[in-house]
Amino acid sequence: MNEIRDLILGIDFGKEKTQLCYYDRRAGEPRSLSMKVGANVYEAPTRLCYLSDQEDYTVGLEADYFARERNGELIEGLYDLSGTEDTVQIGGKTVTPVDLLTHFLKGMLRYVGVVDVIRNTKCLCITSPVLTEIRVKNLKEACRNAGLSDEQFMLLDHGESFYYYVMTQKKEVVSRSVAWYLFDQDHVTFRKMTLNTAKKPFLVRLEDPVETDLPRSAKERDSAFCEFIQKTIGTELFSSVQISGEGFGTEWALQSVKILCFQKRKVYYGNNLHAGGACACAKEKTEDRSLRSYRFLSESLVKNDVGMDMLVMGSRAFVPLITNGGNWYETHSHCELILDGMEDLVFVVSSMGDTEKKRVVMRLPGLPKRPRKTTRLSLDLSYVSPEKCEITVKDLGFGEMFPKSGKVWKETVTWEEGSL
Amino acid sequence: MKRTIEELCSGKHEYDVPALMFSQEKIEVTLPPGQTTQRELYIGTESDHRIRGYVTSSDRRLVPGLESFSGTTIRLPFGVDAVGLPNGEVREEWLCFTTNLGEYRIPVTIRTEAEQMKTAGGEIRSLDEFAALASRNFREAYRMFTEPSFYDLIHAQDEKTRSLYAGLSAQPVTYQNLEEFLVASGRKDKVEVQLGEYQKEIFEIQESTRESLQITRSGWGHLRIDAVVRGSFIELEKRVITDEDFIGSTYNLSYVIRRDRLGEGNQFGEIRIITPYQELVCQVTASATIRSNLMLRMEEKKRRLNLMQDYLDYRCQMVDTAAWAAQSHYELNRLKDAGFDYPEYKMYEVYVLWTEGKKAEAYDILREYHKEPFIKDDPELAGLYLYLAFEAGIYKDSESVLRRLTGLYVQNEKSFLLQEILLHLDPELIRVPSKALYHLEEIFSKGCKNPLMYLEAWVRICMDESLLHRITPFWIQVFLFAGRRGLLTEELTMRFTYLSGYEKEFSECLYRALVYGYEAYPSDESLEAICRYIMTGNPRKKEYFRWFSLAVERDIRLTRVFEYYMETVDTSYHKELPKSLLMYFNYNNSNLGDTRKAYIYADVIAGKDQDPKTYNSYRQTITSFAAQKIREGRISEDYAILYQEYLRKPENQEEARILSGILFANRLYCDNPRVRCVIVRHSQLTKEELYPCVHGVAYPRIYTEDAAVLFQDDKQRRYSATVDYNLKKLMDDRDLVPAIIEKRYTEPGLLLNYCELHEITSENLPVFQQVVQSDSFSEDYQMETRRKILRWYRENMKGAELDMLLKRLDHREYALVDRKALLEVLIDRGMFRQAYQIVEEFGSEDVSPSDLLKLVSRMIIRLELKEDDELTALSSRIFRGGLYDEMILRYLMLYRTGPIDELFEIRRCAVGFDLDTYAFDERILGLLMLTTDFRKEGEKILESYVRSSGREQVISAYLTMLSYGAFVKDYSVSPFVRECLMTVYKNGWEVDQVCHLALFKALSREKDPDGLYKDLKADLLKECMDQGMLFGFYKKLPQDLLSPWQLDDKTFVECHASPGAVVTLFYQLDSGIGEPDGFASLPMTQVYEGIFVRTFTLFYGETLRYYFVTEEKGKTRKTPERVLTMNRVEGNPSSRYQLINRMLSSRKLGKKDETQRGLKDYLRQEQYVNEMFDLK
Repeated sequence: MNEIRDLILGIDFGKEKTQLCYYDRRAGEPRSLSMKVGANVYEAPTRLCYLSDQEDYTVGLEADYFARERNGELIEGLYDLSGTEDTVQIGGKTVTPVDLLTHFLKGMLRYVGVVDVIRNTKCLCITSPVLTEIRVKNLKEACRNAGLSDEQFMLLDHGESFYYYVMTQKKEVVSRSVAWYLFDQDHVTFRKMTLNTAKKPFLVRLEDPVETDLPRSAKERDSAFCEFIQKTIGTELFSSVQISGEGFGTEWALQSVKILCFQKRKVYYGNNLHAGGACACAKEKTEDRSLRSYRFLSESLVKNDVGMDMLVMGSRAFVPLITNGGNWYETHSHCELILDGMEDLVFVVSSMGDTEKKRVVMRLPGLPKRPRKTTRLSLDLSYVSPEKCEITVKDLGFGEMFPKSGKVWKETVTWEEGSL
Repeated sequence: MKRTIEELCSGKHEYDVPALMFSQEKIEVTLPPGQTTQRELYIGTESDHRIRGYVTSSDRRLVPGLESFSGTTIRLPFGVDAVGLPNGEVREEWLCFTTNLGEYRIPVTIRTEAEQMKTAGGEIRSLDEFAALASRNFREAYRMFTEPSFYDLIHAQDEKTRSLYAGLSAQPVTYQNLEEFLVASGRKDKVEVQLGEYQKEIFEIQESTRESLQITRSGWGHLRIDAVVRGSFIELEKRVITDEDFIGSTYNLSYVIRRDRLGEGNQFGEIRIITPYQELVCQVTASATIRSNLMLRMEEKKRRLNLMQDYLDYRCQMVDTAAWAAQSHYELNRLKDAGFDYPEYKMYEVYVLWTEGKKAEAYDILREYHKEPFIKDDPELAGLYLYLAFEAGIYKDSESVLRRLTGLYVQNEKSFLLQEILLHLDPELIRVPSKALYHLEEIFSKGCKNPLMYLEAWVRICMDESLLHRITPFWIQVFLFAGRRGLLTEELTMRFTYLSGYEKEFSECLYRALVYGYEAYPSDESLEAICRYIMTGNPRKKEYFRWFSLAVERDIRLTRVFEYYMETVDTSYHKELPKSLLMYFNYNNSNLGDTRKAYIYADVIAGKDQDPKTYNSYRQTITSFAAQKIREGRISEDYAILYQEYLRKPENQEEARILSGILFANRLYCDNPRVRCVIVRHSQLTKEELYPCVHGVAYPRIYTEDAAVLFQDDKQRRYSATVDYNLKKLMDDRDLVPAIIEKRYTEPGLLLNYCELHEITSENLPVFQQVVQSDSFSEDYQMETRRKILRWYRENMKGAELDMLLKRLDHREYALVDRKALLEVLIDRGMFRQAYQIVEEFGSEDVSPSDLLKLVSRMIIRLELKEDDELTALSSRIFRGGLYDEMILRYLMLYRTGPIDELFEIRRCAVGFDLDTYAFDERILGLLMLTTDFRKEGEKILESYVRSSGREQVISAYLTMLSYGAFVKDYSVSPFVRECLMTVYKNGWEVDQVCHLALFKALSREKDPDGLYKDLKADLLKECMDQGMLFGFYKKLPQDLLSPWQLDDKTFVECHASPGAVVTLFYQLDSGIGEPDGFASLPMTQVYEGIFVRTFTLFYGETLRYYFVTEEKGKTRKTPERVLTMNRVEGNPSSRYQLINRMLSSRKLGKKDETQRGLKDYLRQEQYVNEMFDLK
């Protein structure tokens, strides 16, 4: 690895395996980092090992080694744990999932080999199969604990990392639809990525998954997969076919490969798709911004524009708070405002592709009675799922004239339903 | 002691001894740990009294130079030993002087303190203080940094900081090294500079001018700036700027713009400001002309270029006529607005107008120039005018126009414009493209590079492809032009590709033209042609990988294509190599370099799970390759993969050596172009290791995680925190290191790695001991290892085998590390002699008292109770600590002469052990006599001594001393002593008279109803009276004893003073009759050793008031006044005096009869006397 500063890193935090990629600027592509000294092993088990004598953790293959050789305490199921808030007992201490994720993250970053890796990291993008509210919270907290500022990290689900991976490949790979077979041993999921170039921004969509199970024996497996291919892509034109995950192998997929390569379709098989995608995403969002004309319609997308009509510098203006098109876990907004004779907040909401605007009112019961323009409020909007937005309003008072009451109003809203 | 006894026995007493005076009442000694020092103490008295005695100390760290001394002024040298004491230790000890003038203790404080680094501003005790000093005075800080004592400051820091210091303090130490040290240890930020301006433009320079560039620096610290200039018109005042040049945080760098070196137009230069961390550039633009002129010229050039671009687009049919005309008019208008209303632009306007069909307007303009005389001046313009005028119909004779144009072209053969016009006018040139092309090639060869020329050529070649029959520079340019503008056709591309096969020499232009061709019409043929063509030049450039990889992918059979594929592939990352390539190199790898081979093999290993067949076919080759390369010491990421895969545990020492050579290699990448070397500094090792850094990559060996990685530039300056780098460990050494160690290969780095990662066991103990013995390790690390070893010994003290190892240790070295642990281990394992040697040299602080007791006790036995100062001192210390056994007590009784209290305590304990204390008692008695110590315990010792049939001389001397105390100083006497005195008297021992006097006085105080001692008292009284000695205690004697000496009617007044004093008695006798007289004075005479006595005969009712005045050494002291009244008449009066007294008494009480009876008795007695004793 010849990168030293402004590192762009991608981590695929998977159920069983984790991968680490960095963006090599000279080569102009994401590259995987080996997780084993003296070998090109790019995947490491998503595990930690606690060494009580040193009170330290090791990660990945090292974790396995220390658990085996030095009787360390092996912590498995880190991915599942990251989606909960349950504490665990390790070495006689109660440890939270955030603590474990922090150690895991720090351990992974050590593989980068750069001195003072946090300072030298420009962006770390973590991708995970599914991002839930708690997992997002835990991962964000772990990143902060590891020393990264909010600008230095981002999260991504596997669907979106696939999007970024594909979109940053050569043009011919994405000129038409892209097929994606995701293997999880005997289970295969097919998804089709379509590109709508009719109007800008070009909409990119991952269609609903089609799934099947494959038998174990080679011959049957091959023919079952052939059938699945016929069912899913048939003879349709695809600019490329991407295969990822564990379970695919050229030793059994003899017929399948032929069908896949039908009409010179390009078939790519690789295991660093998600980590590479995460890395590409970080590069794209922080440096290139070449995909501005594309929009990926992921399931995590926030579909509403939210704003408020306010007086700004004395003139009436619409202040946008949330703009659609971002992922819910990255979307948050903060502002401070002064109430001018009003006792509740009115949000102006519009949905993606819909010109009609809706007004949603949030009542502030128990708001202290004060003269006009003497109530300062802090307003925070953050999403807990693609639909649900959490609004937090705090009374900040008005200096020494009207000290703050300490009141906090918290509401979770689904804009579509239009009520709080 | 003997002398004291003799003196006592001979009656030489000292009533009052002077106090001892010491040159220091309290001694404080501060010395560096591990050192010894000698001091002196002077002892004397005011009166130059002779001093005799002994000196003892509380600890062996305080060694008196003399054991005993004698003289009027004593110089006592004493040594203080801080060997084995840690830094900052404070020990409170004492020196005890047991002398004939009493016992004194002088407290001694021993303090160990390492030498502090001192500066003009005071001591530096921490790195923070050092950083503060550096911020004030960097030069002074640098001086300290380079001194060996600076290590003391670093000593307490973590391993990383120590390594850093070790690396940065290596010679030559530059200011930069110190700066780096401070930055890397987080004490300061690196110094950054900023320029006041990054672009400087100076116009209208009439004469050389001086300018300045402001440089601003951040923070404090060392800074050296190299200023470099590009552009001969700039002259710098200074080329090297240091922090001292700065005023505050700014410096103005002066430079001169030399007018004489300014040519025409703008001159561009730059001033580069180079610091170790930054390179800033200030662009300088200078011109002698005014700015607006320059701007205008630029504007004109820009517009002309736009016009040309638009015309090319038009000619290439990328825009239509209307769009081109509109754009051209726009540009021409801009030119006109800028004042460039030149005829050539007018002519161009005519052309545009004519082309877009606005012929009238064109005609009008042409008419304006009809009579213009520019034909001679500018043949191009003249030709252009001719052409346009001909086109417009102003000139109608085409032949004449053609002739004139040809004439103009002949005059100016380099003009493409005239050629272009001819190309459009000359019918022959239009008809025969080959002729036109010939002319174009001609003009190209004369240096014309006009793109229109290429366009004209392209247009013509497109008409007849057969005209392209060989590749010339001209055609390459034409193809490049066509490729760039997207004009290529498939046929021409194919033809061009085909023709390129005949080219023998590589040309970058042709290559680029071929690439255009392939990109426009990709085909295997053109791919092959490109590859072939690349091979005629230098095919190893990375940029050609695209073609070789495509060729391999497309399965194009070309000689050496696989080799070039490998030569050009980016080896910094492993991508799956094509199968065909792997198959090829399985049989033909002789043409490849080792690095490339390693890359292929590493790739085969990486894909062994996916492609086991290939892996197996390569296996043999890779194994032998790996074995050969490891012997050569080759290392890189790929080699590491090979070694890791194939190399097993070493079979012998040689293999261990080879393996060890590459085991700890890391790949370090840094993109700092100044770095020449990478230095790895392990604080545990004495030497640093230097690795060359080639193209930003070095392969340093790093044994521990806390090693410092430093960088060195070409000026020997070292960097640490300010150089970013990337480090990757290449080999997994965990299993191999123990295997190499097993083969007894002991390279320092290997040992270090092993010892850092492994705990000591009985099996690997020798490995750790090698660290201790090797010169390659730093003293600190050796000490730490010794500490570890000792700790291990302490926790695992069993087995004879370990004892053997323990015996072989250099105990002295271990004692320096952890004396306590070492002593515990040695004592526990019964190695008393070794332990005792350590104690002798390094002391025994911190060792548990029980261990020490064990050691001392055994050593006493081993030395068979022979005298040894160290042992005596140790025994005493243990005893004072409250622990002792029989041996220690015995030993102390034999040799300790220390403070009397301690001796008493020893004796008390010895009695508890039923030990024979005879000799010890004698010594104590001697010391008591020496110090004239009258303590009661002494009498008990005397009792014991007497019971053990002690020496007569000692007993009598001690008794003499006690008697003196009792008689002269009025100390009480125990019944035992009185008995002794009696015995002495009865047995007629030759003792001093004071013994008798003391006995007499004691007896006088006792009631003796039975008259047992009557004779004895009478004898003693006689002895005294014979010498005329009268004492006050006589009055306690019975009357019958006194009357023979006519003392029964006497009253005594007694005064005790020092023997040399002059005592005067002042008294007043009041007889009760009339007023008494005033005080009368009477000099007193000394009866015995400061006892002054006077007798009075008082009658009943008489009162004596008296006091004494003593004069001693010039001092006069008056005693309180006392009153004596005679108011008692005792017993049966016999003497006249008594009779008178009785009469006086009776009369006073009003007893008339009794008075008369008394008078009768008195008269009768007087009658008897007168009649019976006739005085003649």
